[in-house]
Amino acid sequence: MDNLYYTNYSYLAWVQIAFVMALMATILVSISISKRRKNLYIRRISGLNAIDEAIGRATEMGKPVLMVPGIGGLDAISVQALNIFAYVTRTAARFANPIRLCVMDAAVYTVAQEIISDVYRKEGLQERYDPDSVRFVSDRQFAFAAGVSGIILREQTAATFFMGAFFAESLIFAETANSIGAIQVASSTQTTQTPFFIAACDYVLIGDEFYAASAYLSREPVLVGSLVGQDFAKLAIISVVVLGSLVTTVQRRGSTGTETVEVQGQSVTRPTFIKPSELVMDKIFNPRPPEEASK
Amino acid sequence: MMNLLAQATAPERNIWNATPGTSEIWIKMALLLVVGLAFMIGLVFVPTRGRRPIVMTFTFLAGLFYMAQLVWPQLPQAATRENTQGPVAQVSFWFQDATAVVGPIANILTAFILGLGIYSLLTIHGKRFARLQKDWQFSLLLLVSLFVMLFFGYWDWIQGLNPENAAKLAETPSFAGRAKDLLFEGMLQVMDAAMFSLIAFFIFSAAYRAFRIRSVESTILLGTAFIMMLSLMGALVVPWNNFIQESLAKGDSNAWVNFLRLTDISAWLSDNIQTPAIRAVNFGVGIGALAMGLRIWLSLERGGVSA
Amino acid sequence: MRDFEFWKMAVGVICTLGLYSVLYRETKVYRFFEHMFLGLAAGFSLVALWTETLKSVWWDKMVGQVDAEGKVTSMGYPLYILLLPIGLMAYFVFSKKSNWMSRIPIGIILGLWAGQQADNWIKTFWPQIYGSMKPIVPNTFDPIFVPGGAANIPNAVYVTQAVNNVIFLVTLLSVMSYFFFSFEIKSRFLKGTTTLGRWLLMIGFGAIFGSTVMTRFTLLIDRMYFVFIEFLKTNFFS
Repeated sequence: MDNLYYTNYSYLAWVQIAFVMALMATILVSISISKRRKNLYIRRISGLNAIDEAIGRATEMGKPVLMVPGIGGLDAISVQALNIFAYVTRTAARFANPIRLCVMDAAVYTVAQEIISDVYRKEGLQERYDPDSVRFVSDRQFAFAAGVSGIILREQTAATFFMGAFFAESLIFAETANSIGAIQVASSTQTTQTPFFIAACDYVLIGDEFYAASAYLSREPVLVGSLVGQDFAKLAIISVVVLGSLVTTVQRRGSTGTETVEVQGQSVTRPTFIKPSELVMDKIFNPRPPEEASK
Repeated sequence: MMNLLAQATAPERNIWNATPGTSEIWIKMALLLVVGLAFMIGLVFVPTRGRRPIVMTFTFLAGLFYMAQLVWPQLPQAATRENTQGPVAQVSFWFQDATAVVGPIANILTAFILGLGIYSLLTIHGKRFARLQKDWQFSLLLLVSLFVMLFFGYWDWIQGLNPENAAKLAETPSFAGRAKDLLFEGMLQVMDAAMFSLIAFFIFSAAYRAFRIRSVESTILLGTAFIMMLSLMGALVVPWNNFIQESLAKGDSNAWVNFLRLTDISAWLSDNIQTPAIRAVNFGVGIGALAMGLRIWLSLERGGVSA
Repeated sequence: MRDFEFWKMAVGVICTLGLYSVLYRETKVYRFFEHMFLGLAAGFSLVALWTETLKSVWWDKMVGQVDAEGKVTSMGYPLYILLLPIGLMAYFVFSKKSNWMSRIPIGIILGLWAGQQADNWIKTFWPQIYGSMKPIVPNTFDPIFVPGGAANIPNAVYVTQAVNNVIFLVTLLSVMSYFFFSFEIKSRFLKGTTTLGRWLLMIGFGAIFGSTVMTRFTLLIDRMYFVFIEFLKTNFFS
């Protein structure tokens, strides 16, 4: 093939790969550093402080704690939700409080079953573990919503935790649980659902507070280190945005000349300005062969 | 190895494939199944110490495919095996072909695991029915609905397998077809829609309650929500916008008061506040997912899955 | 004598009302429809499992395909059968001794997911980062507002656009500042920034809330149309 090029390396396309690799390297380096350091700072996340309060309330009332790790498939979101639920379950197990963990995906169900039984085993409370407390309800979105609503209403769950990838059904869960006066801690990685959780729940983890949760609860060096690395990665994004805006501002200042054009039958002389495709940032962020860029 | 994933075009033979319908393919499948099952049984005897590395290796290799694909030079669409040679390009083509094979693996595995979910459902409701615990009637109903759907679903599917039969059935549906239609379209899909539409009631009760909480944040949230809602109500937007355009702007489309049109306010809010605010959240979520992906891939996550 | 379509619709209407009964209270009626719903959904999943997933993405590829004239259209790849024992390992989750084996298929699924994250990140966020780089100084001051139609000069940055771009960047950066977890914020300026970030975020969430209300309401209207017009009016009052 004539003028062969590689779409992910030629024409500055390598910058994006280099950038994401740099972000990952930052996270890994920060993890390895934090293994040696103790007592790293994490800011207060109020939704997480409410977990113990919520479980305490459920214990007082003698009602179960309900957890739903979102409705997505098996990925980091559901695993992270289950990590948080492992903490919730540990606290509930110590108070001998029954739990209900409702799952929509069979693979997530498998992981949940493992993690929860592990929590009881490590606490030495195997006899309190009931495999039926982790349930596969349905793998169909609204059948799942109907089933979980039924469980909330029949068992009068006193504390509910909705964490993970939620979609339209988020409000059905949150409002149903609200109607029975359950104390609710929620989080959705889907920003389109967060407003509904904010309106209906007592505590909401917004955005990546959800990913920060496991580090916050466990203070595990690997997780805290990762969190520090993530902060640096975000700082890198901010720097790139600010720098890019400044470069673009400088490049787009003033006019490049004048042109005379026909506008509604009249000839008008007006200034011309640099085209977006000629900007430095466009070359970096929209890598493509020069002949395509000029089109 | 190259040919395993780069599935050869139709009848091309290689070491990895076999001609459909021959006894060779069935024997190979049977042998491989035996090997796979033997491997599975062998794993039962792996000592505790050896378990974690096995899981780590599988996880790492699964992730490595996509990471390697990302960093390996990729070819533009115009490149074909005929016009592009060289070892780098060959591997690029291999990656292109292999993606079609690796892509569905997660799907296939999840499909096999679905049985475990159904097992959970069957045991919970089966037990409740067998022991005649509270609500056993409803558990029985669940089990019956499950099997009725299963029965008619497959009956209908099997009838449609024969192309001649399928054409005939499209004109005059069979009993199985009717039953499946009733269960699926008449009930299941209708119940999906009914449950979905319940949100309309909940959205108002949530808004009403949030209005009563007098915190700065909830006021900001619902105030904005209110403006957005108004801007979507045609009966209100049209007279309001007309009032601004005709009476205040006096028909001048460049007058600044035009900004007070409801549609302009909502568009401004959505372009200059909503977009950057949500993007900022998503930048964080994206980095969180990237970091978590990295920890899972390298099995650095403790306490969770790879403990 | 009513036809099949009538009865199908009648059943649908009853199911809809049965599920709506939960708005009043959780009663035996709701429980009935809920369990029927769950049963049908599970049954359908088992049907779709083979007919829509495993048959096409697994079995057909494994045994190959032959067309009506007996010509081979795709070769079979017997190695696909190995996915079956790997999938079966998940079923060891209830075993006391060998439950660790369930982590192998889980590890593969998660590994495949994890490996795609770097690429996903680039595809999702690279354009968004670029889209956030905005000029913050106008290059023309006449007019102040963005003119409509032909008077609009291509590639110009008007004063109002520059102001909006500043607001855009302030929102983006102040909301991001709220999501720093490991730096202790002591300066009053930065504390103010994070508070501003939270408020701006609430405006963003409010905008989503407001624009979703209407679409959700449409769903309800659609169901009401189904019950009252399509079913009741068409069958009984026309």
